[in-house]
Amino acid sequence: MSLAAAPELRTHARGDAWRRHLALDRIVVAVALACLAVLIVFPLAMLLMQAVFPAGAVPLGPFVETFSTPSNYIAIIDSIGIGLVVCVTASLIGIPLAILLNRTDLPGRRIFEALVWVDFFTPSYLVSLGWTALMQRGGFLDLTLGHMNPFASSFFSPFGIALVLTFKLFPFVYLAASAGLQAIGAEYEEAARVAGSGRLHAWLRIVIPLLRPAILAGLILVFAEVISDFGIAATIGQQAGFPLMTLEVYNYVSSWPINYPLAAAMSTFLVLSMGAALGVQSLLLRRRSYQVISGRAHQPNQIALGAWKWAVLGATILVFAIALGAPFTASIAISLMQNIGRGLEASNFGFQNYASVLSDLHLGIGALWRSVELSIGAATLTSVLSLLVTYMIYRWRGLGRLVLNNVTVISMVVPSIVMAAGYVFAFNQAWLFNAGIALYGTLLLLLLSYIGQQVSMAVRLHLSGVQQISGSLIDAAQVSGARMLTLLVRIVLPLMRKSIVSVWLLTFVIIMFDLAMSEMLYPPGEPTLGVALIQKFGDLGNIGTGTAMMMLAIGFVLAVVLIINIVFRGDARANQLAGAQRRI
Amino acid sequence: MEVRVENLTCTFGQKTAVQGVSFTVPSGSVTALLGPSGCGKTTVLRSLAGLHRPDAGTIRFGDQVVFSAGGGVNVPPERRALGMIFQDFALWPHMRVFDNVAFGLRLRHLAQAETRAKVMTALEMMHLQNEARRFPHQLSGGQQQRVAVARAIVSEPQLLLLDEPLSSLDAGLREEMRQELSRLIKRLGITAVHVTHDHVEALSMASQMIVLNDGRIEQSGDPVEIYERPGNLFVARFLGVVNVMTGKVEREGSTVRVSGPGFSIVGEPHGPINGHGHALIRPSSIRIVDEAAVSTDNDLTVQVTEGAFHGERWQFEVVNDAGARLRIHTDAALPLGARIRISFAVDACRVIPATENPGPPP
Repeated sequence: MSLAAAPELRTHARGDAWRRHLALDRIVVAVALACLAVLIVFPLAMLLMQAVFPAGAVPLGPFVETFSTPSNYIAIIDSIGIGLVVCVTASLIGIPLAILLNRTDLPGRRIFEALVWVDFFTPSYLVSLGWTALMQRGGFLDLTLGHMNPFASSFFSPFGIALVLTFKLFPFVYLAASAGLQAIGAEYEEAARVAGSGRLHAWLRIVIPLLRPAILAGLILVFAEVISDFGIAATIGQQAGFPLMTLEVYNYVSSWPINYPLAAAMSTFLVLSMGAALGVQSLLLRRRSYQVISGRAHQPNQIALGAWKWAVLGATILVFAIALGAPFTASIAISLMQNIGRGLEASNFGFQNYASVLSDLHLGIGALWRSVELSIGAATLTSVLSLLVTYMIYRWRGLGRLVLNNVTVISMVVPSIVMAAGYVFAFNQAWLFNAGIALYGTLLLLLLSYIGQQVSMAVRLHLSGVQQISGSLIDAAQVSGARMLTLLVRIVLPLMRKSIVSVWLLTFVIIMFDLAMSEMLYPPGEPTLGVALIQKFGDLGNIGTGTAMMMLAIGFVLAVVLIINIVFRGDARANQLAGAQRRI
Repeated sequence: MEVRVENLTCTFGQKTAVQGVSFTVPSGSVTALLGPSGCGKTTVLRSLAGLHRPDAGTIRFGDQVVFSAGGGVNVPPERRALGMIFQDFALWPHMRVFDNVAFGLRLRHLAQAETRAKVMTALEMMHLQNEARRFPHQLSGGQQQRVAVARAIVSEPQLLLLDEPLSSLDAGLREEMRQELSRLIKRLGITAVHVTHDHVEALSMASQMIVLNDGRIEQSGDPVEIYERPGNLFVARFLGVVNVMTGKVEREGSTVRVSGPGFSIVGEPHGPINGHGHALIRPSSIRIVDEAAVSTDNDLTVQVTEGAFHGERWQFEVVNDAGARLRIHTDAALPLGARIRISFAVDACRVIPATENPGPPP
């Protein structure tokens, strides 16, 4: 092989091609940045404008109005109050469960762990609609008891809201405490035992204090989830007449009397509370006030439950019976009844509700299919955009990286309902319509809003994926002459395959079951899955088809998840790659 | 192609990793950047590659300025026409061996036949022609290393950069690859910069050696020259185990006498003599002699305090009555606590001026 070829000649010959690539790179970067600006920065900026400089009012007036009028600030107090209560109740379930499933010989631990994840991923409004089907006057509980259940009125109250939130959110505490327990390992406990401490004493004095930061971090997540939740506020909260912040934002934007500035002020306050909570949480996790033994922590000894085993098992089953069993059993049962008024007679059961959903092009299969199309489209576009942004954050240094990092982190804490309000303020402006940009009230805007709401989470997830790729793999390609797009297409994307599939799937499921963005932005006459479900559950006569539609949607999503898992798990090469990447 | 680095400075936040480093890599030479971890050698190499943007200085490849902080020039890595071998090989796991090697050529839009011919030539040079269809994880560590070498040389680079390329191989393989790499670089007549913390690697492969410490050049020049005449304690210690005896230095004709606690020895001066100095004696230069023997060499009576078998030889620590410690190498074991007499020649004892830099622990 000769090395005589003059380097300057080669560089010259490559010059033109290189310049063409550069132009394409720049266009791609510019398009990606423009998308972020329009989809995230513009709506949030308009939201802030609306709150700080409302049209025809004094600056900051909406904040003053929010905090000086009891009917306005009651929702804030309610939200924070429920948040604090649920922190306590969720940890009463989550922490013992974490200890039981991680450190004892309780039978069926793996099944329970899987159920925790099911509960974690179930959209909150599906759970609360299930509870509605169960508890409503004339609902499933009335039918089974054969008479009026005594809880129907007391359930649709702060008590019911807290109950449903507790059983929906205890997985957050569970997962935080489990992660803490696994990180601590058994050594500290064993050292205490060797030093003469009893088992209970060792737990109280050593293990629980070591777990404290992890648990606290989990509790803060629970609090943030409660105050940003729209699914339960819009269902049980609405029925109970108990105002929560998210519902107030929705009401100010969507129902009479409309008040954009108040919605914006409430939204800003909500975002600030979320930001404060999650800021403290990430500080807690970063500080790591405990040093965990890394890498070599061995499997801790299991605590034998002995005579308590069956009682504890019963209690654990009860937790999941309340969290998932009750709402979904009621939903399935009602979905199979031809006429809810006729009750539990054998002849009343059949698939009529399913048939009528499948033939209803407006609120039935029509809405369902619209959500499928929207979520496939939005998840795909979100993937493309988030991968570009991820790559820029990964490779850029300095200001660009700082800005992208901050935009994605900050917008991650924005609750969907607030983002939706931002989209209304941003795109429902006269000058846009005058300029011929009539996006407001179209399916296209709904699609864009899904992307805007999901892209930051996707970026953060992809970032943790891309960080597992050794930097030298990319350096090597760059030294070999690859520019940004080539690097991305030939090196980075193939290595990130698994992460790309799972992030797509997660985005797809979240958008499919979205409620907040859809309620606020769906075009009249073109409801999505969530909108249709809420409408159906609002009226006892439609609850049968409502539950049937819910089951069809859940079945469809499970089928998609299953198929994609089979397709990509069956791909032996993908696994080989993952293995190889670890080894090299 | 000659590479000239002038006044290169790189900072990471508060820490200055490279402080005004200047050197020239003559065309066709192999230059080793040697130093302990954290000395800045990798940062210098990544600056040469364009993977790191220095804060100050100039880098020239031949006549072309590829980086100039003042001139605002920073040619991106993909336009520097480099070959680089990475410490962890950095083979793309989703591509076959052939595609790994062909990657850079394909970006140059060569004719397919030409690409194929070049890749196969490079693979044949590395004895990998039968592995072209395999994936990297199907190869052994040594084969992976060869693929990385083939990938680096296939595009006939103006400059080959080696980032501790042998450090992830086991000892036997490392020796073999070192020779093979040396032969290859000589045969191709390529200009190369080789980063390593292993002085044996640097001494055996390089025609020029630059010893870095704490972001600065401690000494540079011909490897044998540096090994023989380390300019300071740091370099001496970094290039292998060395005994240091510190004391007062007086001139005695063409030699110097170093006197310290319980010893007075004669050595050859290197550098100015200004009162205090270090006498450097390699353990291999020290012999054990009879109590009665008479010689013109330095000799000391010491007690054996510690010893360990190192495979091919024993290493013992001995101490004189005033507490000065020395290490010696022997072929056979010595009884601990024994009093022995050791001796070393005047020309095996190099005396350098005392410096502030104590160097790495021996």
